[in-house]
This record gives sequence, C-alpha cells and structure tokens, in this order.
Amino acid sequence: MAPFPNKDSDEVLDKSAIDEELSDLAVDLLLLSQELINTKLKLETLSKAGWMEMAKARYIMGPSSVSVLQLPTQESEKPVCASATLDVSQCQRNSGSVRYNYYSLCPPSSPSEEQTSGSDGIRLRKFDINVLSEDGAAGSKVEKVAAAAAGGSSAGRSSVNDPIRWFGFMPPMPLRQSQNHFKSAVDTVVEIANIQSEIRGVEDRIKFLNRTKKGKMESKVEGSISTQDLEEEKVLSLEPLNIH
Amino acid sequence: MALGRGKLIGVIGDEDTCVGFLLGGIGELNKNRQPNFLVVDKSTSVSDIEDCLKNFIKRDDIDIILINQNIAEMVRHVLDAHTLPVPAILEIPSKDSPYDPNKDSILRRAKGMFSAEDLK
Repeated sequence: MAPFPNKDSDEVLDKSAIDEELSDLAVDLLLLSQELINTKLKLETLSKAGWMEMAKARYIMGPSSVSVLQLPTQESEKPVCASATLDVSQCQRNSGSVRYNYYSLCPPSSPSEEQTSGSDGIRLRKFDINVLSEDGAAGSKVEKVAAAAAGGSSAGRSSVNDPIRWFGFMPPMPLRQSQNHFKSAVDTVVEIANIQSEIRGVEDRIKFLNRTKKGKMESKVEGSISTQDLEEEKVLSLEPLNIH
Repeated sequence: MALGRGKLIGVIGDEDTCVGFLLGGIGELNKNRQPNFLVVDKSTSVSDIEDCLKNFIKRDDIDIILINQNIAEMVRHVLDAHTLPVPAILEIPSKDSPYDPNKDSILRRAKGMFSAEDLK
C-alpha cells in the first residue's frame, strides 16, 4: 500500500526548511563571533590608549593622585550618579525568529534647576525682575536666552557630575584625553553587549530548531514502526492455512 | 519595546580598569551607598570577587557587567553558571593580560553549538 504522498512531502519540506534555517544561523553565528572578537580588540586598543594617557597624568600629578584613592566610597557624602546609563529594549530579526535585547546609551540627562552656561559656571536665573517690569517681548527674550543656555548645558555633561573632578579642579590634558578614550570605550562596550545578545538569540533559535528536528525524526521513526507492524499483520493474514 | 531605562554598567577589574571606566562616567553609588564597581588587587580574595559578581548579577539596576578576563578565570564557574540574558557579562582585557578569545565563555559556548550529532 503506497504511503500518503502529501504527508511525506510536507514532512520533507519542513525538514528541509529547518535544515536551511539551521545552515543560515550557523553562518550568522560564525560572523557574529568574528565581529565580537574584532570589537573586543577595538576595546583593547582604546583601553590601552586610555591607560597610556593615565600613566602620563600620573607622571605629572603624582602616582597617588590618579588612583583608587580618588574613587568614591560608601563613606562619600556627595551623591555619585553615572552619566553613562543604559536603555534596554527588545529587538527581533528574521521575521521574529531571532529575538534579543538591544542596549543603547541614554541621552544626557536634562539640566537641573541650577542651569549653568558653558564653562564659566555663571548661574542663569529663570526670571529677571528688571525685565519682567518691562513689556512682555523682553520677557520672552529672557526665556529664549534661558532655553539656549539649557540647550548648551544639556549638550555636554554637567561639570558638577564630571568624574574628572575627583582628581582635582584643574586636571592635566593627558587625564582629559584618557577620559575621552574611556568614553569611546564605553560606547564600544555597548556594541559588544549588543553583539553578545544577538549571539545568544541565534543560539536559542538553533537549540529550538534542533529540538523540533529531533522531535520530527522521533515521530517519523514511531510512524514507520507502526506502519511496519500493520504490514506484517497483513502478510500473516494472507498466508494460506495448510490444514491437511 | 523598552525593558528598562537608566540601567548601570558594573565593573570588576584592576585599579587602572576601574579608574578608566569610572572616568568614562559609569560609576554610581545607589540609594544604599553600594558602588557598581570593585577594584581587585593582590589582597582581594576569590570569595570576595565571587560574592561581588553574584551581587551584581542579582541587582536589578545593573544590566552589563565588565570583568577583566584574568579575573574572570578565577570565577569561571560563576560565569558558566550564568545563563540568563540579563545582565550581560563581558570579559574585557586588562593592562597586564591581553584579550584571549579561546578563554571567552561566550565564544566557547558558541563553539559548542556545533557538535558532531547536530551536524548529522
């Protein structure tokens, strides 16, 4: 008795689709692994440049001036807030088959009530009493100036929260350059986290497809065993009985 | 879909690594005055590093943990046991030891995906 042709061709199609997707994912995994290594080597280069500049700053300021002694501790009275924080969202590709987390750095925080203009540290009052006594047009001019200052200060980090301030009020240029290298290193760290997250998503999809493939093969084997039993029964039933 | 905002990057590393990344702006003391970094030196024990790593993993405000690769070797069992996607643990090079892809947990796991049975 011929097997059901449609059922077999559907099963073959599923298996071939799974195998094709597994091949594509294997290539993706290799490419992502290579990208991960390249990005980590980039991080190493940036870190080395940062450490070199840090060593120059230590030479200028003294070895204990740029060390763990300047880092905030639990006993520190001043609040310490990170300026580089993460925004995590979920990402998917390949029609939703591969899902992973996507990290990005949050934009600089909005300026506090104490607005500072650029680098001179002059406070800008929100309301100027003399101007308010004049007509409304001048008042709007003050608002525009305040808004411009807010835009300027939000573009860079507040000098109050800048970690370079832990190392003195007038840090040398090498220390600033070291800070720039490590800010780039933080951006690279986020890239690495995204690649790693994508690798994990691809691995999860590969595991799922392997389990599905294994399940299909097991059900096919069980199906073929039951078909074999039926055929054996038919053969036995057709055998002539030799009574004499 | 946003899962979280304002999450931190933690760092477990030698002095220069911690100073560097804190200069980059990742350092914070939370409301319990707990830092998101640990400076590892010769006097730091393996159990201290382990406890700190486990604490960072448990914290819900840390989504990425940076750890020097040579320090990661000391607590490899904790890294290998961590299978959740968050927080992401990144092995980074230190000043004294360059990055070795053969020791990276992520790459070893990816290599292990290609077993002989799966390729049949």
